[in-house]
Amino acid sequence: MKKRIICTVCPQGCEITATFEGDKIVEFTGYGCPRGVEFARTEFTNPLRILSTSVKVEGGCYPLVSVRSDRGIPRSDLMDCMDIIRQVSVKVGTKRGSVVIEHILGSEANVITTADAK
Amino acid sequence: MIEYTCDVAVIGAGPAGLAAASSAREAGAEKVWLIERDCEPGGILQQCIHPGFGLAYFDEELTGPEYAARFYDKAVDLGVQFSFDTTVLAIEKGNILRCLSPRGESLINAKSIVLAMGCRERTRGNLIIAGSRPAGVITAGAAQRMINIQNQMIGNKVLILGSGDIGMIMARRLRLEGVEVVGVVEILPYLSGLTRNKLQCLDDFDIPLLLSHTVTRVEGYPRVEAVYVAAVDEKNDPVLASEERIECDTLLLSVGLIPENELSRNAGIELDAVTGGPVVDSDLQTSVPGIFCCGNVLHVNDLVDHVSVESELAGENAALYALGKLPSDSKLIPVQAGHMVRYVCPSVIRQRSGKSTLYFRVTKPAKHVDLQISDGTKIVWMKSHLRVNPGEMEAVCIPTADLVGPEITINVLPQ
Repeated sequence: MKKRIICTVCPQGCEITATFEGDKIVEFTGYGCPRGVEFARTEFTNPLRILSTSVKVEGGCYPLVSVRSDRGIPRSDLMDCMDIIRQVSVKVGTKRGSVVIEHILGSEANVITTADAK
Repeated sequence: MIEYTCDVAVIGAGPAGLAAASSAREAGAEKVWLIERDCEPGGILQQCIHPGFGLAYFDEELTGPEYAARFYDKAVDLGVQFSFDTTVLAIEKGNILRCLSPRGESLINAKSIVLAMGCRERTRGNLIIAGSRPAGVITAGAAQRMINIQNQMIGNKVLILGSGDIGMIMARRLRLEGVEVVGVVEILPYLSGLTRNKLQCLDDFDIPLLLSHTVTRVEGYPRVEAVYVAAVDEKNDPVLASEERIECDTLLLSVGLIPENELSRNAGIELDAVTGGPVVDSDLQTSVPGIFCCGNVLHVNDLVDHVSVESELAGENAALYALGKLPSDSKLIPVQAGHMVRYVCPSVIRQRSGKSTLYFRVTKPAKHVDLQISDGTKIVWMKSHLRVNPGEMEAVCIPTADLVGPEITINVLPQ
């Protein structure tokens, strides 16, 4: 069996073909770099996505500051993570890169600010 | 009126201006002045809170604010001088900026200038959509600013016209915020934006993409109640028999970007009819000596990484010009857009030792092609590509010292 996976690691968008038997991957073809193989492997078994959104700022000039997960989150968990992120806020003065939520949904991923809360 | 002087003045503190200003300092310009009409640096990157930036430049994946912050921090470290809340009203006599800020009007006399004003969105006024003029018709970038910076939601049920990157990014953003996205409608038979955005923004959230379709009219007043969508024929004219009414309260437009060149036009700078940006040589110098140009005001880019690299070149050359070190006697070789090429930027190569980067877009998607550059007598560069797409800009870097032809041409040929 073959499955076509378009690599999204970089904008090249290589079309990678995964050949598999059952749930075992036999080979990958069409990738342009080693990161592509890694991406295709994860995409085939458990697709991960960086989640980016924003949280409220208490006492700032701006109502929001942007946040993201510091690593991929299983695609199927994105909406549940949004429900958790929606509950939190940060204080004005919080610096870029600060952890807002540790190990969201019990995963390895932390949610961090991507700008200063102003 | 207060009058100032500087070596290099840069207009716009988005990614292009930030990179150009730092590069100008590194190239030896003493006083580099960056003028920005907003109260914050970063330009459009401030509202692009999604990841995908920096993969080529930093070899890591950053969000827009993070990417901008790296360049802003660098510019501050290098001693670039910033004026925020300051609008450039005009470029006078080729080197004087007339500026307006809350502190009043001022003149900046610059030895060289870098244009980095970016672009703006096409609006409903640029399209022809029949129907009433209700609230709820909004451009994707405006929606992005409202949602990501101002904490204001734009509607409950959204249809997106145009498969540009901002539209697809907003489809995902809206869905994450619990808004229903009924679909993305694209008049062309192929995607306008990047493939990765279709996968991560549309496919991941089961948002349908309707190719070869367009919006024919908008219904409702004072708020959008429905939008009519129809298939288009080969001439992109709607087939009215296929028209379908789709209920929604918001129509989001992601239908292209226009380089913002009012300043350039009024300064007498020659503009390119295809890109909408200034005509430049490979130094990124415009038709007015001492005025350089980079980023989306030059030609609309899909990747900020390209903008940063291009802008560093513009900044460096602006610094050399200000210092009187930019050679102006080199031979000029025009660059032509050949088979299946919509435009090439720059349109003229200044022949020197070293290399020039040519950016171009294809006219239509194709698979298995050869990108070929000929100088009239021979092929000087060739590379095979698995696929090309109008939404994905191509960049090739060629040595220029050995070019002999009167002009060079870029062709994209089927294998």
